[in-house]
Amino acid sequence: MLSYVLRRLVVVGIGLLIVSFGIFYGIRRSPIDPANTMIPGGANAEEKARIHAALGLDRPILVQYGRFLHGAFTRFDFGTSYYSHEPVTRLVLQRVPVSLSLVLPAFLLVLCVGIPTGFLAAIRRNSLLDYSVVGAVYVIQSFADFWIAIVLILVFVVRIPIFPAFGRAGPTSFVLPALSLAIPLFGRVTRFVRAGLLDVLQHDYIRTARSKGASASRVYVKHAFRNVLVPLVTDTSMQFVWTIGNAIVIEEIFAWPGIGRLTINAIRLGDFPTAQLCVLFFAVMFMVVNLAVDISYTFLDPRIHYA
Amino acid sequence: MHRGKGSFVLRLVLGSLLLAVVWQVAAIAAPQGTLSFSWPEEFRAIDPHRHDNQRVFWAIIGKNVFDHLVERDALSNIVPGLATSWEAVTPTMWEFTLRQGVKFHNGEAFNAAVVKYTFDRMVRLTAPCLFLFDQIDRVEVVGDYAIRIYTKAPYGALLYSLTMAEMVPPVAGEQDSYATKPIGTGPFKVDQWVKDDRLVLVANEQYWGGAPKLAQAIHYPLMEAATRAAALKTGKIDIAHQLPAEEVGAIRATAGLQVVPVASNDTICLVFDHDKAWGDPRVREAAARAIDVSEIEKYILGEVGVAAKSAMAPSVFGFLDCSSEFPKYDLEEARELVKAAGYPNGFKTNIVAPAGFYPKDREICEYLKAQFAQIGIDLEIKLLVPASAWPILDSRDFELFIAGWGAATMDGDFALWRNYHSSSTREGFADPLLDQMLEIGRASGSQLMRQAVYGVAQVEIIQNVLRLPLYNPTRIYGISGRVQGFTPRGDENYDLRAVSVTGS
Repeated sequence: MLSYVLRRLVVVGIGLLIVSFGIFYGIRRSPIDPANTMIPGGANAEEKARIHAALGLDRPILVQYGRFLHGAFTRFDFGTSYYSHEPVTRLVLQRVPVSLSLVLPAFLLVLCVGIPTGFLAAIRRNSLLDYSVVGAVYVIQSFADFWIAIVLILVFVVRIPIFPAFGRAGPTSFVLPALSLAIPLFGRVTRFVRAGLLDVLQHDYIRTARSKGASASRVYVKHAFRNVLVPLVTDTSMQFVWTIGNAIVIEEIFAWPGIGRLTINAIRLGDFPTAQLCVLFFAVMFMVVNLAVDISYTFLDPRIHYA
Repeated sequence: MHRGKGSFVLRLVLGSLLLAVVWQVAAIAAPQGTLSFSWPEEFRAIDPHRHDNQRVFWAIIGKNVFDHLVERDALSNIVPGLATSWEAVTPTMWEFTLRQGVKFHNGEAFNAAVVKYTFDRMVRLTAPCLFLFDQIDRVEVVGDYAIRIYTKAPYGALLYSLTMAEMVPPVAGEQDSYATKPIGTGPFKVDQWVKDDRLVLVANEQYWGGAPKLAQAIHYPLMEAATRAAALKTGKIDIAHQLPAEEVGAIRATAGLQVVPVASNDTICLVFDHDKAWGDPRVREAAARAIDVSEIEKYILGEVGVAAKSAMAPSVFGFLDCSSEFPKYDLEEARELVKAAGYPNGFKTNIVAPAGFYPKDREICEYLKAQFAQIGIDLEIKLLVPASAWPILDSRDFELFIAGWGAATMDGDFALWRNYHSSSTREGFADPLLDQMLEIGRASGSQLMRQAVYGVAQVEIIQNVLRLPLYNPTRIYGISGRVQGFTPRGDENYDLRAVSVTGS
């Protein structure tokens, strides 16, 4: 197992190098130019040359990349933001916990609502409950998260003043953002659990367990649901990483200083060092979560083990 | 002895009364209250030499945390700031006498050396705002409180440029912390800046112009209009900057809130590429005659903008109302002009606009398409994300463009030179009379002369339709009733000196 993890970590390292060069090169080749954002209405040739020289963008790309790698490996320094002149490592490290504190409760909500709903729909298949759950899920999944957010603000902030309109002060300020994020997402988990259970329940070993006289809970939870866990964990973990970035819309609406906003604004404004580290962060998250999930399989499914 | 005791008691009572009155007065005079407000934009940097020319920087930080050598009043006239008097000794050399007894927030003294340091730092850090000062050759210290500014050529707009140069302290300005906690001489100090969360300003009670009335001012950047409106309605913020038209009705209907629309200093224009069919003045005049600005104002813009009266906004120094110079709306005449220019069957053209950057851009493009179709011009609309649209302005890959230009210094030179002088315009035209007027306006030290030549320049621009100004966007302010003394300005600066709030 240890050698497996180490091998995977090596692959992660190589992957990160490739991603870092990809974003480094890609953003410099794109039409986005920090000089155009810095001078209102666009920069002329002379201003562009001056700004590029000051930011070190007039050197060949490989030279720039070399300096970037050198700073990263020797001092863990990924550069300073072109705009606020703060070290980008500090910027990113400040923003990640904010996004996580939004996405984690949202996902807890998603799982707490989605799993039991899907479960019940599957075991009461073709009943009124099943149809209403499936119907509701299809409708709710089509709502956009920003639309839900605005509706929630109109009702629970303006009409009935319970929650604050924005900000992160106090426990009440978590409710609306987490709800806006969670509502469009739990449908996916419900459908996943329902479909997975329906499939598993067809199998012979379920019939065997039932004919053995096993209780309903033992059959459904220990035998059936456990077989849904592996694909569920896979899908949910990838959704989780994707949502950290996708929370940008909710972050904008509720004015949370999260990593999604930082990334989008950095790319839009041509703040290359910030954009690079943000993209690298998502790559790291993705690869590490992937690895953690793969390791978790050995606990979830005794048939799986790594040499 | 009896009288002595009585008069002692009297003196004691009077003394206590006086003390109580003074205590109360001092309490009233001491800064109190917190003002919260919100722009739909976050600062990308708050160091005066690192910020990239964001309006929100000048409006909130430039105006309140810093002072400049000279300042603009609400009518865009120059008034003394950190300089008490000035004189253009020669056309290329101005001498300024500086105010004495001014201290920075950290105790450093303001003097002539500070001014020189500020401009040197600007160059050293390659500040994005340098383009405002590229006419300045050098700054010389001629005494503790006297400086000379030499310009490369006669530059009458120098005073307006100087209203944008924040004075930076030499010691604090060298520290890394300056980028996140800049220090100036202004009525407010930066207490805390949490990016994308808030900026907290606190009163500078030792301000040379008198302590401000507010104890604290907090800016929350709220991008989403619905959030800003909700925050205003629930009292979380007192001033919402820039509300969209949809929110206006609800805010007006709410007790304790008022809506104040103010014309900004932006002018949004229809830009022509003069190297294409649009180089023919008849074709441009045809375009102007096919557009009824009053219709645009009434049906498309609503509260969001007012029809442009000139190539620059009314609040800018040098403005002249040229409404009567615009070619009159006349579709027949427009058709004739297109034919006379050599296009009996009309022609195809395209328009590029940075989507979402200017209000109602899509609607205006569609209006143009419908109107041009009536005079034989087939217009293709290309709405691109701003990041893709700006390079097209450079590469001249367009026939028509919707572009705006503000007047950061609120001066005619800034508003007009860049886009209309043949040496700098990117649209391919050269008008000798206009060039001459702009050159005199830039060089002349007489504000009266400058006003006159900019008047001529604007008439020339409108009559020849070099660009076609369409509208000035309005900024719609939502203001809570607890705010006193706040007057929205044409340059969008927030002058918080005299602002106070009732309640806590």
